[in-house]
Amino acid sequence: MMENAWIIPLFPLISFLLLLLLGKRLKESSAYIGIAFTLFSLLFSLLVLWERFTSPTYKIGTEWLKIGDLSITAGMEVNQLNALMLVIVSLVSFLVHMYSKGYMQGEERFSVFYAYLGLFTFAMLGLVLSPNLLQLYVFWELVGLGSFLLIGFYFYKEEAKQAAKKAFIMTRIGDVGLFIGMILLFWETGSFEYDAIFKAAAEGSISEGMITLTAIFIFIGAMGKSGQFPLHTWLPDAMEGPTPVSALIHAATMVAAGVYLVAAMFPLFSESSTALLIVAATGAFTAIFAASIGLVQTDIKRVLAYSTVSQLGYMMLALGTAGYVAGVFHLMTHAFFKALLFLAAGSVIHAVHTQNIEEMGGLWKKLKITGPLFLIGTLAISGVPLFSGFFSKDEILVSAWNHGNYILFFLALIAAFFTAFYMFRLFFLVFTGNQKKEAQNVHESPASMTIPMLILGFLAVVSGYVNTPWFGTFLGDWLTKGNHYLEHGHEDSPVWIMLAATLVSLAGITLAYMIYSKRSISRDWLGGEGSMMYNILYNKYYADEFYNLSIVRLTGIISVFFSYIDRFIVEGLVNGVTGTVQKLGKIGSRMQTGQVQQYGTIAFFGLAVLLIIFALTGGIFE
Amino acid sequence: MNLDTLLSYEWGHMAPEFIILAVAALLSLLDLFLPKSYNRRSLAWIALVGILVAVVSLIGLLDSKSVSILHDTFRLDSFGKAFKLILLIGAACVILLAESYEPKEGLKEYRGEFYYLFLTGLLGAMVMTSSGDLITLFVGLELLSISSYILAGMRKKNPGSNEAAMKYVINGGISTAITLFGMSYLYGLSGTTNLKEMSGAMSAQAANGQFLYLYGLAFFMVLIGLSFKLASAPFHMWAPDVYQGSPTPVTAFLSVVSKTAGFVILLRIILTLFLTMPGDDTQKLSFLETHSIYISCLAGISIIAGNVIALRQRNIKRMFAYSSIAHAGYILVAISALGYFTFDAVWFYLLAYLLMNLGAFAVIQLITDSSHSEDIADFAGLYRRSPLLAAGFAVFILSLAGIPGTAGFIGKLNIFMNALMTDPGHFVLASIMIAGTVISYFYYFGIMTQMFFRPAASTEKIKVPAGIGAVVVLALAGTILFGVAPNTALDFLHNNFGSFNDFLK
Amino acid sequence: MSLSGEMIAFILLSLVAIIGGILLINLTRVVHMVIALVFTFISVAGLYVLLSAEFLAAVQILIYSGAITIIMLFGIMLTRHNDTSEKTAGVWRKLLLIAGIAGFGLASYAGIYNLDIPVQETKLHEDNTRQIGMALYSDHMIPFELTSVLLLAALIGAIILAKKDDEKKEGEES
Repeated sequence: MMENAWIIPLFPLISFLLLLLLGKRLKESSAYIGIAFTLFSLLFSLLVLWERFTSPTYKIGTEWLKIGDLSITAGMEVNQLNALMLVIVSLVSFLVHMYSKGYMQGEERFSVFYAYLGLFTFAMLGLVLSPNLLQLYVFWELVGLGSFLLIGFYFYKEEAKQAAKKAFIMTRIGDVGLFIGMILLFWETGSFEYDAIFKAAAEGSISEGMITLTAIFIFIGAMGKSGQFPLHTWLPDAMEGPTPVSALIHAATMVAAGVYLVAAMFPLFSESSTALLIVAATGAFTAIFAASIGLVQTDIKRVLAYSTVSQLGYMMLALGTAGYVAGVFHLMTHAFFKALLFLAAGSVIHAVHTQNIEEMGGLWKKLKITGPLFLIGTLAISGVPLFSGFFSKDEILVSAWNHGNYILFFLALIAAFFTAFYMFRLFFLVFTGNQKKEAQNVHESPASMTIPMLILGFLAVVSGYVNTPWFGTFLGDWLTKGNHYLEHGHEDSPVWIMLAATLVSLAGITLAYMIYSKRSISRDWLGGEGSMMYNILYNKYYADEFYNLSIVRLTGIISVFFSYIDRFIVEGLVNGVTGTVQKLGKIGSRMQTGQVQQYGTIAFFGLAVLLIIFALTGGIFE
Repeated sequence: MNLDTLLSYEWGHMAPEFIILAVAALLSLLDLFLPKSYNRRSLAWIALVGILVAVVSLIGLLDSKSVSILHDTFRLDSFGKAFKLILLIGAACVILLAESYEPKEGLKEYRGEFYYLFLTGLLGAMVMTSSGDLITLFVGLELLSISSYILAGMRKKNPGSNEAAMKYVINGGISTAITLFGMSYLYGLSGTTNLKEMSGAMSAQAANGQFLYLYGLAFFMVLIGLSFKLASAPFHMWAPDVYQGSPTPVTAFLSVVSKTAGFVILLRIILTLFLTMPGDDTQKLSFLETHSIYISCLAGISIIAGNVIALRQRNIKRMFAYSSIAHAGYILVAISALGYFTFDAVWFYLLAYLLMNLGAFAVIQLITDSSHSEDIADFAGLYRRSPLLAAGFAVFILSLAGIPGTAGFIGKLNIFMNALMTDPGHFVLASIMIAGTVISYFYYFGIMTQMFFRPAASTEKIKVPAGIGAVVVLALAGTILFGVAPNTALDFLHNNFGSFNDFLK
Repeated sequence: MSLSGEMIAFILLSLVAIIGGILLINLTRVVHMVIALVFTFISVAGLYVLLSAEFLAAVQILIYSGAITIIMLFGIMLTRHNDTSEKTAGVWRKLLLIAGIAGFGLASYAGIYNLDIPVQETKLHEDNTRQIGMALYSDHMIPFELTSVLLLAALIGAIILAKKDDEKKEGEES
């Protein structure tokens, strides 16, 4: 099966082409084409993964481009990492295809949406299978293009249009970094192949400084795609796209591509401690930065977007502290629970037709399936024990601790606290409390939407058990087996870290509970059974006040501060650059007066300048 | 010289030129004698067949060795063949566009001339690819220029077209004067117009610093004069006005065939002459290597000016004019970073540029003709009016922007690698190229946004004429094929033309 | 550099040619311009004579005197005589142009000043008409024939662009 893995990306491509041609005629039955083809991809991916458990890495390539004596190959590679990614991508894509059938119902350009989804899935699967940097770059750009089209899907909204453009251009800035890094590596090693690059790096035929430089450039590419500070601003804006798109692209797959890239290039990064430190520091900072912004957002999808940025920061932190397994592990669990959260959020939006969490409330009773599923997702992301996020986050914290960088470790811990807090704030505001008047005719979403959520909910709980300190680290062993560039020592993971993580997340949850839910504690759904809880909480009133005064105020200030950085410095910088370019353009077009004499003058003057410079430098006067 | 020696030359190797000449003559006669009421649109098909026959005859000549006729006034080497092929394909597409061209006020009785002036222009361009003699090269250049001047002014009732022709003539005159002045220096110092002999004379004389200096002056004059044809800095400013005013097929012709011809003659002259001449007294490096910085500067300025000013344009043809300035800059990067595969890089880029630009112009012609305006806003909602056309146009734009998966990306990659692989690497130039590319995303994606994310002004379906449809399909197939499997083109290049080692022989 | 008679003639002729050119641009009356042009052409012909290219000199005068008459006719017939010329260039453009010309002149002069080209034995004086004919019809046959195409294209172009479009009656065909 593995030698036929190239067929996996072809299914969504066929779906894309079919829908492009037949879409108008098929209307809403386009969904079945999309769903069927992604199902094929999923099945093949599962087969490949299954086979990869027992077989060694498979690699194939043919010459693709010949420039002079240089030959660049194209092909595919199935190793542990991309076998796993194949499954994640095709699974989430399949579920999103299914979910969209219900969510996008009644949309005029239904088939177009499915066509775009196919294009994106094709690109993402192709990216994952690429055995060399150039091919990866090709698909990397295609992925960006798919994202551009999908974010701007609601083109009649000005924000969506702007967001699409911003996303494309911001990630392009990162892509340029990737491109430069790639070319530099090629220059040094004469090859784009991962293996050749790693070999050269390990043998020391690339100088230390060069490794660091190229690693940083590649990391810039990853920052763009994975929304790491300061290239993160496009991701929250990208929420203007349809919600299933947010689940697929901006939670589970495309944004994870940056993490995937760093993971795939990990042997290169591990040769340079400076590069690793930069990755880790950026990751940790992004994690806490985005989490604190998430505290004050009122748009349900924006909260999730910032939480995505923050979680991606976690993954980068893991990779940067040499926690290869931790990073990939969190990538996987995050894909499941974040996709679940987005889909559930979509279900909520579908029901109440607003994205503002201030206008929601009391939906727990109405949305009998969505509510508990959302809760599962929230518990998972908050790192509550026994849920998947708990294990992967613990792994990251252990990795940060063992690496000896305690500042980063504590940053991550604080970020975990924030995460638990704002996620539960979201949960309480949406699902508990009073029903607002906007939410009268609320009903649960159709089965096509709930089934994908159920599957993801299941995975959000159990996917953590593939790599636990209790039952064994299957994932870690498998991921690093036979790959001599990575070592997966069974490092001792101090038990107290696990306890601390649990405590921190519980503290966050409690705080959120007291602030956002307690106010309504005597009413509605907690009314009967909650009297005991009410008393406990009542007695803790002063603690609440204390929190309110100190921590909440403090986090509030931090949050506002970071929002300012985001708005004025990062955006300002971007606007400054674009403004300069625009101004240059203005000057340039002003010179274009339309007077033909002037054109001649400028040409002649140019000639004279060249001649004078030539005369003075290389000419007669020596 | 008697008749026998004259007949002993292998005139068969000029077959493509003869065919084009014959078809042009035939068309002018037909145009003269056909009744007035006859629709001269069908003449375009004769022109097309002529070009295709010329392509076939050229392909028949691919295997032959390099041939020289009459002291190199005509020489068919692999360089000539490779670029002639591009010119012919480009001209065939332009003729197809011209067939479907229908300006607001109509072309009236000038339709016949419209077609055969393209052919004479093409003939000039073809001669420029395969001559080793300054006089022939110059006559070819002028033939191309004069045909283009007239073509630009073909819409006589349109003030824009008149203005374009006028500006084109005047600027062309200046450029010709500069080029010719440079050429006269070359001739005056070396005493011959034959490029090979000239190159020998130059190498011999270069020990004298004063000769070296004068040859340097000639180099700059030829370079600047020819930069008019390339539409690169500092002789680029005519391009926006002329591109905007000319009939759309002529704009396509100028941006593809004429530009290609400009690069061909530039390469022919400066590589033959200045690559062998030592650059300074030490005689270590050639003139071109020592002074590549000047070409680099021009390339950099072209890239920046073209891309930055394009940001502010609302007229689609004007925007493409600026974008073509930037593309000329990219190709100049390859020439400035002279390396082992400069020819490959330039050839491939010109091929890719031909495909994507002609495809784009085909769509532009269709849209601007149907809406009688050239504003970018006319592309709004194209996706809803004609999804396939919009998808095609999107591919061309992506290719122009250099997005992977398209021929434009491979072209840029080639040039980029070329710039970095030379020793010393042209890092600054490579960075300018990247920066320019990034800036270009803004305006290219502006068009994309219009097409996909804006409601259409009219819901009227667009009828695609056969000619335009053919160009779009051909260009689309090529753009994607050479983007996905670039080796098809490069293998073709290597198998048939080797590494152009008969260029200097 | 010795001040021979040839040198003096060269300096005079080239001065006249250049002044003619400058006057052509700066004069406002068409007839004056044309006369300035005549000066330029005749001096160029004189330069040809100095270079022993008698045939070229003769051709120059023959062709251009014919052309001049035509231009004069057109100039008188087709232009408005009391045309006020609009304000032309901005100051900075003039400065730019002057700087450009000065730079170009200096750079060129630096090259040709004291240039010593070894004298070659030539037979240009003998039968130069015949020599030109031989060159045109043997070695340079291809560009020569190509020039005919060029002239044809130019001719057709001139007719197209100059012909008056009359909707009602058919024009005399090219």
